[in-house]
Amino acid sequence: MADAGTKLTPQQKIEMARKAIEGTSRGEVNPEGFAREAVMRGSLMGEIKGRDAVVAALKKIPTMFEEFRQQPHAILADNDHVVALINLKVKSGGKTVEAQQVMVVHTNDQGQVTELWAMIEPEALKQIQKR
Amino acid sequence: MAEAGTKLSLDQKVQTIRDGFEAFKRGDLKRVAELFTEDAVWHGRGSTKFGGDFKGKEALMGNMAQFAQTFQDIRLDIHDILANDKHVVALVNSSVKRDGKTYADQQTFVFHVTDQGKTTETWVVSDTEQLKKSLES
Repeated sequence: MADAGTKLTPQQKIEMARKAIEGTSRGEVNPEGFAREAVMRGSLMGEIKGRDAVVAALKKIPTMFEEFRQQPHAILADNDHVVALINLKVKSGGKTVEAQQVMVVHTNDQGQVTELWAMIEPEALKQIQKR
Repeated sequence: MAEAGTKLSLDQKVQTIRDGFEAFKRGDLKRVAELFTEDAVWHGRGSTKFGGDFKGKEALMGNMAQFAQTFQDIRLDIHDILANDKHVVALVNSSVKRDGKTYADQQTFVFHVTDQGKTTETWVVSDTEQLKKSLES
């Protein structure tokens, strides 16, 4: 995490996002990576508001499945957004669903997440949810 | 469009995609077609007629034309476009009308764009369930 007042470059945001995604697959989520008023909108969990709730949800998601793996295909960033194209593999009830996930993240200048959208194609999501 | 041998910068690639959306919005499908390679592939999602892979410029432009004929008041407001060496990603707030109903969505378009500014592959991430519903009405 950058010091207060330090503006991160897009490349620094990309590296932070990569580490965060890898950590999330293991259920490791750093609360300092999120602004206090962070909001997450996701296909799997609906809308969640506030740092503590978002962190708790991100820690919970991998525990909902026998396997939950997010493999970043590409991560792009500019001054306003970080976008991660992710190959998602979820195993539940002995069956595996593979899907492409897109994460769109708004960050503040310190690289903390203020808003996060995690989108999975609805047909794949239905397969995941019915397991 | 860059001349053969000229490598587009990331900003130029972003502008090329922005130009494509603007051309679609004004109904200039001829200009849109110019932005794809002949063997370009469009990966649509979902189980509607707009889902699946459309291989070749003719097929993908046919799909796009059919979309334009199926819906009214198609709005594609670009929220942001990002690029790296391999991808251009457009975040788009969209809405369409059909039979008097409006369907709004937040869509992500992922493009592979050559160094000369031609798109070779496109993936669309959208609410395909809503799309299905809009076609059933």
